[in-house]
Amino acid sequence: MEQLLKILNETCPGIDFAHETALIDDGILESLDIVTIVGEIMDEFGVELSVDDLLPENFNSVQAMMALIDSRRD
Amino acid sequence: MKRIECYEELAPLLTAQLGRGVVTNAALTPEDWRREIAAGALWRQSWEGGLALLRRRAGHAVLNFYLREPVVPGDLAWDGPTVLEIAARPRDGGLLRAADFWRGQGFQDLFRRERLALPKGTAVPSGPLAARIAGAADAGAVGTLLRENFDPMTGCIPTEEELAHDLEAGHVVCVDGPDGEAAGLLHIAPGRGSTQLRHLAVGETHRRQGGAQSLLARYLEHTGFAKSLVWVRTDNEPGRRFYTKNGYAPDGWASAVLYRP
Repeated sequence: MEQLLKILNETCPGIDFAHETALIDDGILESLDIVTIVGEIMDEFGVELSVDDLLPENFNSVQAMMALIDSRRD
Repeated sequence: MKRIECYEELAPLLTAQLGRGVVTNAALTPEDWRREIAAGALWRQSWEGGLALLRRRAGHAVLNFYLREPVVPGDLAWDGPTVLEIAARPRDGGLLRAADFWRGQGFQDLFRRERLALPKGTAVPSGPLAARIAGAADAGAVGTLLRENFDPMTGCIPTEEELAHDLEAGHVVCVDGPDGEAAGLLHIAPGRGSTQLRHLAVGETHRRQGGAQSLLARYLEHTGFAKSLVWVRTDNEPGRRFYTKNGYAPDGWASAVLYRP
């Protein structure tokens, strides 16, 4: 989780990723942010994500993003 | 260029673009892509480090791209009139460099837009005209208003099918003229947690009667006072004044609209 938070804070500074639970629903992150975040996640965590993973519910919170990463590690 | 026949053909191409250092102006959803493919309008061109997706329209094409930095130049194998829009915040250096890349490919700046936002929960006073949710019977008048008030190339005018869908879904608000026909419209793009005001226009003979104010107030009420977003051309001073008077403010996003004849 710490590694993901570091990526997010560097990619999209100024957002309280640790506590926000509606990053997409509240318009805090935009679809173009997701593309950037996915690139960083794939590189840092060594997981493969597909365009079909780019669902709003997978990026609404740091927990949701972590769950997506974990599901691709299995 | 090759026409894309199905979403299953497109999805791996998009997946292949995911990775560090990729910049894109493609904020379309899978449903958006499917609609373009079903209409036979989506064409692609790939090169090392780049993917261009052209959405063909009558008389021009709209360009979406994925570019991997450092950008490797690739000639676009399409010589028809083409328009592209790059939306970015000041921190999005990659997208700003992408605009320079396309300028180097012969694209010229047409105009710029700025995004304004109205916080959720904000109501505005209505104008004197009664605004209503438009329906299928308004398709003709609404379509005419759109064509008369927005540029066919850069105005994102919906197709007849898209407009029919949006009227059915309650995504158009209108005010009527004395003849009972829609004389002004506000076109909504719904979203998760926010809505976007896509088009707002009042027919020339019905302006300065508070129609736009009535449309805006009804739209906000209709969408449950959700956060509202609108892109305004930077050279549209009356439009900008109208929105800021009603509480909208810049949220940091700006775009450049580029065109290659």
